[in-house]
Amino acid sequence: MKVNHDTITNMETIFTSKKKFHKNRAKLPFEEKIRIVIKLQQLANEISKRKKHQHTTLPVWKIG
Amino acid sequence: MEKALIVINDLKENGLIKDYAIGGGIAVIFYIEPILTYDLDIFFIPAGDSDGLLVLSSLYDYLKKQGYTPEKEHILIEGIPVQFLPVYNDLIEEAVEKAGYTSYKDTKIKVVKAEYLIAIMLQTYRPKDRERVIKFLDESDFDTEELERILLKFNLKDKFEKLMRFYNEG
Repeated sequence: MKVNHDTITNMETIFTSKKKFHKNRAKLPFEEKIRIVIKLQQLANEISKRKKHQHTTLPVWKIG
Repeated sequence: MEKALIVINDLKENGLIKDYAIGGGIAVIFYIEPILTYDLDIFFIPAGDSDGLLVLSSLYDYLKKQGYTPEKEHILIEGIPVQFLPVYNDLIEEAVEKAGYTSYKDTKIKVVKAEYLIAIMLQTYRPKDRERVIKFLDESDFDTEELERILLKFNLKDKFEKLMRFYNEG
C-alpha cells in the first residue's frame, strides 16, 4: 500500500492531538475525576447487566 | 466519597493507625486521566509496634461497630469499598511517610506521591501496572530526580529501563 506524505502528517496530527487530550484530562480537578470514575462504573455496570448469563452487579460508588 | 474519607481520617485521629495514604487506582487518577476502578486502597502504618494483621482485625472490629460491613477483602464505608493494606515493605512504608496532603472537597487527605506510585507499580509489575507507568510518563508531571533516587534505593532501576526499552520500541 502506498502511503503519501500528507497521510503520515495527518496521522501525526491525530496522535499529537490524542496525546494532548489525555494530558488535559489528567489536569482535571480531583473531584471532577472522581465524578468521571463513577460514570465509568455506571457504564461498566450497564454493560455487565446486558451481557447474557451474567448476573453480577458491579459496584457503583455513592458520591457525597 | 467525602464521608468515607472522614471515617478514614478518624482512624488516625483516634489512634487506631499511626498514619495512612491513599494508594492504588484512586491515587493514580490524582495524577493521570480517570480510569475505571472500584476500590479505595488505603496503605497504613500500624500504631505502636503492633503487627499489621492484628491491627487490621481491630480496625475491622471498630468499623463494624460503627455499622460498616466487610465484603470479601473490602469493608464498605459510606458506599465505597475500602481495602486497608498494612505497609508490607520498606518502599510502601516510605511512600506513606512521604505522601502529600491535599483535599477532597472540605476534607484533608493524604495521597501517595507520583514518584512512589511509579516505583510501587514497578515492584508489583502486573500488566495493568505496566500500562499505568506508561500513562504516568505521558500524562503526569513528576520529579525525575526524585524518581531516580527511589528507583536506585529500592533496586527498581533495571525494571524501569526494561519497561522503557519495550515502550520505546513499541
